[in-house]
Amino acid sequence: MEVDKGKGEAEETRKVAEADRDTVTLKSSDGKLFEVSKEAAARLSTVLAGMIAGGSIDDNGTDLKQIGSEALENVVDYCNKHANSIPSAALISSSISFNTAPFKEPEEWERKFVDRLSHDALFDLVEAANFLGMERLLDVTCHKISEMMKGKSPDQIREVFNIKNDYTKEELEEIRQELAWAFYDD
Amino acid sequence: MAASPQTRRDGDGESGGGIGTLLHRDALYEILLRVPAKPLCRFRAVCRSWRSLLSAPSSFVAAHAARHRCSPCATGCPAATAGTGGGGDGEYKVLSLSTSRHYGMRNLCKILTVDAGGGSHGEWRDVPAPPVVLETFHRHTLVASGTVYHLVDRSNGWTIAAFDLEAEQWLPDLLHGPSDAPVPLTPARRERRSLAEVNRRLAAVYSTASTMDLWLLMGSGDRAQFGASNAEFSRHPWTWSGTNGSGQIRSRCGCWTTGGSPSGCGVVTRQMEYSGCMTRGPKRAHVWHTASNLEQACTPGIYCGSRSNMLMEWRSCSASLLGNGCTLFVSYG
Repeated sequence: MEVDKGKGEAEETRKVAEADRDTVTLKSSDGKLFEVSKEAAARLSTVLAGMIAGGSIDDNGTDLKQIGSEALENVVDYCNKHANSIPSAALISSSISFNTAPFKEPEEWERKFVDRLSHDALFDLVEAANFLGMERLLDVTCHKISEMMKGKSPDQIREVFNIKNDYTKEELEEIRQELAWAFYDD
Repeated sequence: MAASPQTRRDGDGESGGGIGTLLHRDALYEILLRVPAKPLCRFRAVCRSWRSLLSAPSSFVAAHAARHRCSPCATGCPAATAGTGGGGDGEYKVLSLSTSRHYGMRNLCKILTVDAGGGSHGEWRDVPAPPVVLETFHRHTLVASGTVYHLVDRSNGWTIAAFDLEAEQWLPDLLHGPSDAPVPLTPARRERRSLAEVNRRLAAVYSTASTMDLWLLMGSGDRAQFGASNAEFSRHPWTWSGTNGSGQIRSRCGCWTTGGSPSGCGVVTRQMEYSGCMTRGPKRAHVWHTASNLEQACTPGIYCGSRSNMLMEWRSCSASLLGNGCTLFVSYG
């Protein structure tokens, strides 16, 4: 980490000596700044960990153009809550690709965390978590959405995910017949 | 959950295209990976791209199978199960029928005894496979008088495999439906052949959008006589002798029923879409979706109650009792 890069116009908070800082500043697509503990960010997000390690963190706010302020706020909120609530090292995994480990159930606080989110906010958070390589957050948010999907009909799924039905009526009836067993819920 | 995300990101070039316009493909995969196999299979009906994603062989299906113990998507076939009152004394038997494609097509059959309180007696027991390989991805199965009937083929009449729950074995011969039923079946006319249970007897049902014909399997209930040669269906007029002017049938999709007995109890499971109460009428079936008020309570369980009491007493039994991915059918003791 370098010392002051001379960007004096940055806000007061960013003038502290960066080398000693234990937070990183993240900038949402709409220009809002959020601070998050460096330790938590590195631990929970493979992407941020890589950026911190590689020194590509911008002290005036690392641009995360793909993430809106609401989602980023939730990400930061999650990181902070995570830091405060569980002493778990087992939550980090090196891979975000498909793996065969069973999904870990969300903890109580994580459940509450996603339960309060609107549909839209949840979708945004999934994408943010995916983008940032936050496997645990991805797990929790995806779990929530999958729970929500389980009891839904294809019609409802199309509505929720804004998908166009490209089947003909006959094809749909055929599929329904073929999959009749799957149309009765557990 | 907010319910109106409809217009978000329409036409977003970075989204998953046909897969879903709200989420990027990766994120959607992550979500779908966590959805249990059964609803996932149902979601093949969402759109074409979901169907190819959710049908084997695809890398997604392989990944899903690796994360879930039970993945019909991978094997192409779920477990289908039938439950019944095998013995008296409040004991029930649950028949699990599943298909494995791992070693060629074959059926795996298991049976479990449960008591009326929902407790199990011992473990699932293996039973011999049926005389022909049965498709388990439809629910043309029902239980009547201690026998599980499985509709093998309905393209040309009814061909039925039967499992004797007391003897715990499949009858060696397939049963054939009534010979005087209309043929052939033209799907366009919404004709359908199915099985039903009427007053504890097996019924062959031929239905169109507005009519329904029933044939009852006659016999004293001595299951030994249900052979292919001496099976005898008789056309059942719509003036059957149900009490109160109504009888209850169990439709092909497996509904609860009391089957004409003044009281009954049985193993109950799932949502019941086409099931209900049927009144007699001039060749017209009035099927009420009376079961819908049970849907809220459609956890697997045992019910006890009388036919006049639609909402019966529920005694739930644990899902694990019923086996992984199993679907139960209703019956009574």
